Amino acid sequence: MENPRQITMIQAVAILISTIIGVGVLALPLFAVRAANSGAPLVTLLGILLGFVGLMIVTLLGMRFPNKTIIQYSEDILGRWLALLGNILIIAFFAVLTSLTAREFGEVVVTSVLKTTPVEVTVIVMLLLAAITTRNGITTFAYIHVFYMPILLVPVLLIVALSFKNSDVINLQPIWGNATGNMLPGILTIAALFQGSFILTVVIPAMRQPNKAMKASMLGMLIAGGLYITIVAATVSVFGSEEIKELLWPTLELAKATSLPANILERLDAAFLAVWVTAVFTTLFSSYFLTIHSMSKLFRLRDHRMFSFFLLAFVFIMAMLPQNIIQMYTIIQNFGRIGLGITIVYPGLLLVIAILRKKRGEPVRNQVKENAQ
Amino acid sequence: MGIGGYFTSYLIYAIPLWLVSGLLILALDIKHYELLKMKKERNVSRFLGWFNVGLACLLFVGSWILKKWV
Repeated sequence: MENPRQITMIQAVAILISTIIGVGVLALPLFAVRAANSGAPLVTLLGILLGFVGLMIVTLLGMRFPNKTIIQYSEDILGRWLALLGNILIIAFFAVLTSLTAREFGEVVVTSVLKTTPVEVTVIVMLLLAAITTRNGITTFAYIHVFYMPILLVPVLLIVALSFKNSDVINLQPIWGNATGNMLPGILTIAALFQGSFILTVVIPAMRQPNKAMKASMLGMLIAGGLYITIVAATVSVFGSEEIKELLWPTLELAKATSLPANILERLDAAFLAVWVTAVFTTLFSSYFLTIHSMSKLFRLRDHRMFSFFLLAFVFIMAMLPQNIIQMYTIIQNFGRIGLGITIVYPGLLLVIAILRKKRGEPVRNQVKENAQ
Repeated sequence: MGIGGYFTSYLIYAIPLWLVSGLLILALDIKHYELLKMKKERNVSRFLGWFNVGLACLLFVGSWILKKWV
C-alpha cells in the first residue's frame, strides 16, 4: 500500500506559495497605502512578519504532533469539548473565507472581463471547480499546487519587474509613511492575507519528513512575502500613494500600465488576469480542502470526499450575502482581522498549553528515510 | 423569486445547486464507499445527499408558497 506520507519539503513550499498568492494580490496595495501612505512597503513587511509568527506557531505545533492535524491534536491538548469549540470555529472560519474569496474573484471577473455575466455564475463555476478538485487525496492536492506554482510566480514576477520601468523612487518616500497613526489596522489586514498558510496543519501529517516543516514555512513565507512587498513597492513607486487611494485594484492597474520593452505588447492586464485566475483557484482549492478535510477529521471519517459537494451550496449562499463590492470589502477586512484570532492566537494558546501540560505527539509514523532532499 | 430583502436574486441558483449537489453525492459517493467497504462513510454520504435534496425541495416549495401568498 502506498505510504500515506508522500509530500516533500519542496512540495510543502509550493503549497504555501500558491495558497498565499491569491485573490488579495489585486487589492493589497490599496490596504497598505490606506494604512501608511508611502510607508506601504513597510506596513506590508510588518504584516508579513505577523503572518509569519502565526505560521511559525502552527509549524511548531505540527512538528510537535507530526501524525495529527490540528483538529486531532487540539483534542489531546485541550480535551474533547473545548477543542470541539475551537475546531468548529476553524471550520466555519475557513468555510466563510472560501466564500469571500470566491465572491471577490467573481466581482473582479464581472467588473474587468465578463461584464454582462451575473456574478453568481462566476462564483458557482469557481466553487464547482474547487469542489470537484478537492475530492482527491492530499498527495494529488500537493501535485496540483506544485504544477501551478511556476505558472503563478514567473508571469507575476515578470510583469512586476517590467513595471519598474515606469517607477519614480520619490513616490516611495518617506519610507515610514507620513506618521499616520493608522498602521495597526493595516498591518492586521495584510497579515490576514496570509491566513491560507493554515493549510500547513493538514500538510505536515502527510509530509515525508515533518522535521523539515520549519524550513518549508520559512522558504514559503520568504517567497510569497517577498512577492507581496515587491508588488506593493512597484505599485506605490509607479502611481504614488494618493493615486492608489482612488484605485480599487491597484495591481491590476499596474499591469494595465505595463508593457514589454519596445512596446511589443501592451496592456499586460490580460495576461495578468489569466494568471491571477489560476492563483485564485489554488487559494480557493486550499481553503476549501482545509474546510472539508477538517470536517472529516472532526467526525472521525476516513475520507473527506462526501463533504465536497455537500458544502458547495452553503458556501455559495455565504458568498452571495454581501450586497455590493464595498460591503464585501468591509466584511473581508473585519472578518480577516477576527480570523487572526483563530489562526494566530488560538494556535499560540494551544502551543503554550501543550508545552505547559507537556503534551507531545507520538513519533513520526511511516517515516520515509531519505539521505538528502 | 420576489420574496424581497436578502434572499431574492440567488435563490434561483441556490436551489438547483442544492439539488444537483445532493444528487451527485447520492450518485457518486455512495457507490464509491460501497466499493471500498467503508460503511460509516457510506451512511454519512447517504444522509448528506438526502439532506441536500430535501433542503432543495423544501426551499423550492417554500419559495413557491411565499410567492403565491405574499
